Amino acid sequence: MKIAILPLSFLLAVGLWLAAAQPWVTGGWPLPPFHAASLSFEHILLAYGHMPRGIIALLVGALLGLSGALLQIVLRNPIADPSTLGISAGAQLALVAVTVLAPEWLAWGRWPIAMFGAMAALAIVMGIGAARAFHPVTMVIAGMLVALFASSFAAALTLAQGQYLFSLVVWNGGSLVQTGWGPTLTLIAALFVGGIGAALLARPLSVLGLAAETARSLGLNVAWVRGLAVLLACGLAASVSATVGLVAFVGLAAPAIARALGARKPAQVLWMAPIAGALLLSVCDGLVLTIAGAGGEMFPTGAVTGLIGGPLLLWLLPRLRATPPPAHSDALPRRQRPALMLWVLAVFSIVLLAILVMVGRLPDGWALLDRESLALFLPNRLPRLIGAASAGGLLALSGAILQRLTANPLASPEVLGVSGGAAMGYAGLLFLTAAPTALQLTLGATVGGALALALITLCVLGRNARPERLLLAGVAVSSLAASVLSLLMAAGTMKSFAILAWLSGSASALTGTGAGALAALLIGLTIAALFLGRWLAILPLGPEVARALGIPVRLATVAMVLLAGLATGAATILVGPLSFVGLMAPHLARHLGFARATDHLLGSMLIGVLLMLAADFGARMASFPYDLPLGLFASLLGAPWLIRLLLRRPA
Amino acid sequence: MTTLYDIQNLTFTVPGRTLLDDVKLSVPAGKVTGLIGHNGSGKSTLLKLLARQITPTSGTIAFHGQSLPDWNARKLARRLAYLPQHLPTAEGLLVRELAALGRYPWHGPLGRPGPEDQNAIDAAVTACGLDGLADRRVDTLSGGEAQRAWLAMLIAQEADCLLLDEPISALDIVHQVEVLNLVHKLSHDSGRSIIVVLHDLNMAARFCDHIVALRGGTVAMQGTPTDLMNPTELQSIYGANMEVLSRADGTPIAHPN
Repeated sequence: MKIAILPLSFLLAVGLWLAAAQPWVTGGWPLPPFHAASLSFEHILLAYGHMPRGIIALLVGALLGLSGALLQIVLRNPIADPSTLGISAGAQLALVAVTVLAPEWLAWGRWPIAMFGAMAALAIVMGIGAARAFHPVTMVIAGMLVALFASSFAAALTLAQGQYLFSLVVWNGGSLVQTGWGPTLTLIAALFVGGIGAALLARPLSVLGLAAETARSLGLNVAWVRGLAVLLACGLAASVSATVGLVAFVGLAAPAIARALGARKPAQVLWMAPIAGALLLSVCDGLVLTIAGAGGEMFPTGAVTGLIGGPLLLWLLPRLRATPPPAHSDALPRRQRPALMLWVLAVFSIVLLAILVMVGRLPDGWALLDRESLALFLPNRLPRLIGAASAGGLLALSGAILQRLTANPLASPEVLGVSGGAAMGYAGLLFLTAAPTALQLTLGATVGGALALALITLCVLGRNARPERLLLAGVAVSSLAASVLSLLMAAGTMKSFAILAWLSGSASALTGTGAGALAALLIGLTIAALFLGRWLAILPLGPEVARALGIPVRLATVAMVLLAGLATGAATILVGPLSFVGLMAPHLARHLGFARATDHLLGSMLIGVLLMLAADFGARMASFPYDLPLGLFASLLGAPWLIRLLLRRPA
Repeated sequence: MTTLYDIQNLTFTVPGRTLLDDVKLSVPAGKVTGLIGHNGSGKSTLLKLLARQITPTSGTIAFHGQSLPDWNARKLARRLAYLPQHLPTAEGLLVRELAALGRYPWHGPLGRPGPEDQNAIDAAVTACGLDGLADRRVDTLSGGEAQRAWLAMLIAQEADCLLLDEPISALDIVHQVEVLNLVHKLSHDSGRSIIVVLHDLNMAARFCDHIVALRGGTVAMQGTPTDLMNPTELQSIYGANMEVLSRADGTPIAHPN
């Protein structure tokens, strides 16, 4: 009986919890009602720390399980959950922003703030999804992009206010450490309300499980049911975010466990998922307690559960219906003479580069640099500008290749997981060695990126692997990287700061050699991509057509992944994981009317160069004389515009 | 009669189901062959196997006397063109550019397109009656026009064998006849072999020279449309009671009772 696993894991969780309590129970267990004044020190630890912690693990798991189950049912998407849809990251960003910028608002309670952030993130993801028929993989990619943006923005705020760093980082990791019964009572109330809501929604949701059209013809108000279920799921996730922080992927795992145990109908999933989630998180927390022993907590439990996300997504991959992403039905423009426009862009980038080298800002205004100051600035400024421009071009090229390969307009270098792998390599080296040199760190990032790339390549090499697999495998690797990073950050101290700084991207440390290498790589990879232009023209039509025309599909896919991975990796390693240029530039190029494969590649590349030149200028000037992180500035510039573009419904 | 495909002991299974079971079949060259059968009878699977889109679990397929796995990818694409059932969206492509993609097997990834490529594209566009639409975008065409634009790509490929998977399933009756007339003409004017999966029995009987009927993953019958159109055969293929009527010109049509 598979179902026996539930009571068994409950016994395991209780056993681990009791074992962890051993150091303090020498004098027996304290009995409620507790009066702190009359309790011994050990009893206080038990009554206000260990006992509420055991219960809160169950509660948080149940809340997240219920939230994930609601989202999966209402979106008909087996990989939806508060983490994959960016809800938790949105709540986290709101809380970080308020903590840093307006701490007095915290007096109103954390829940409304978390709820606001969660709703905002979900609104964006749902908006992007609604324009694309809620296509499962597309929704998760949108959620991941929102989460990436939210966490990089939160990182920027944290960077700006160093003194809050440690508590925020620990909170981000989802620590279950308790110092009283308050949060427990709040979460009991949340679970009570959520449980009633879910029970009321169970029957409408099982009708909605068919399809929106069918449900509507059965007399269901689809918009209301959808809205209420999503709102409820959002509220449950926000209450967890507000009390214990980010506990990743329990909402994804719990319904999957429920289904694996035989839950089939929506109502069954809705009551089994919270139980599975509660037990999963309790066992995880028990393990964290056991590993930590009496020596204090090393890793927050929420970050540990994050580690299951990547493998879980890969396991769920074959269960997804392999549907191609719904097409754009709005006709994007098509330029009559693309070559002319390409020349204009190329000349404009060179002119802009020249101007940015020559113009400087002085405390009392702008000036053209004279010969002496030019000679002074050039060795520093030229590598930086060329490096930033080349990185932008490389990321844009990578994005254009990936969007054509997968025929999904949301594919981007971030989704490839290479940046995540590089970040893991960088962070890993930083923590494992005492005083790593810059060269060692670069090597670490290179190895990490290469490993991630190899993993992704293996995923697309499988039999009959569809391009969709590539996207989800990339999301899996990226989420694994994010969890490992938050684990490392929670364990470290000043090293966390170095990682944060690297993650937000900077070209200021670039040497002449580095910049030259990036520029050479940009030229080389652009030429290589142009040689493969015919493949890139045919691949968007899908593997069937490509195979029928005699293209070696597997070889072509691997070649494209390697090309895109190399471009992303090189840019990431030297300038940090810059966000969104790779997603934005190909979109802009397409909107400018570059429709044919080679025009699209060249156009994207040039636009990427221009975007990064502009971002570098902005990053240097916005808070003159201090530099802002380049990658961060680029995402802050690009993300709102990009979201507007993606939210636009097809005509 | 020359043989296009020689199929021996062909079996294709997915976990838990056998889609094709020990199929032995010989498909004639130079004719329009219709693949018919009930839902789930294995028509599309057989066509995908013939197109080398999927590999059989066991058994062999010989195409023009040479075993299918031994064909070089581009050499095969010069002889064999395949149109999937669900057409992908050709975002931003012009009709002429879509047809030009059919030249890939000839010039490859790097070869320079020559005048013969241009001629083949022009001929394909004309053959599909798309001269007036050559510079239109495929994603702005109607269903029938888009279907013809994809056929133009297959024709530009200059393969002597075309495999079409339900090319008319999404079209209205006028466009169905239009596309099938084109298919018929392509075979009879230039001796191409065409294998087409069809749902509509009467369309198959009217436009095909040769019929292969599948039932539950095995070949139920093969022969001429006349062999097919009698109540006993139809009963054994579809398991339904059918009546065969005769039109004024003598061609048979089948109708369920």
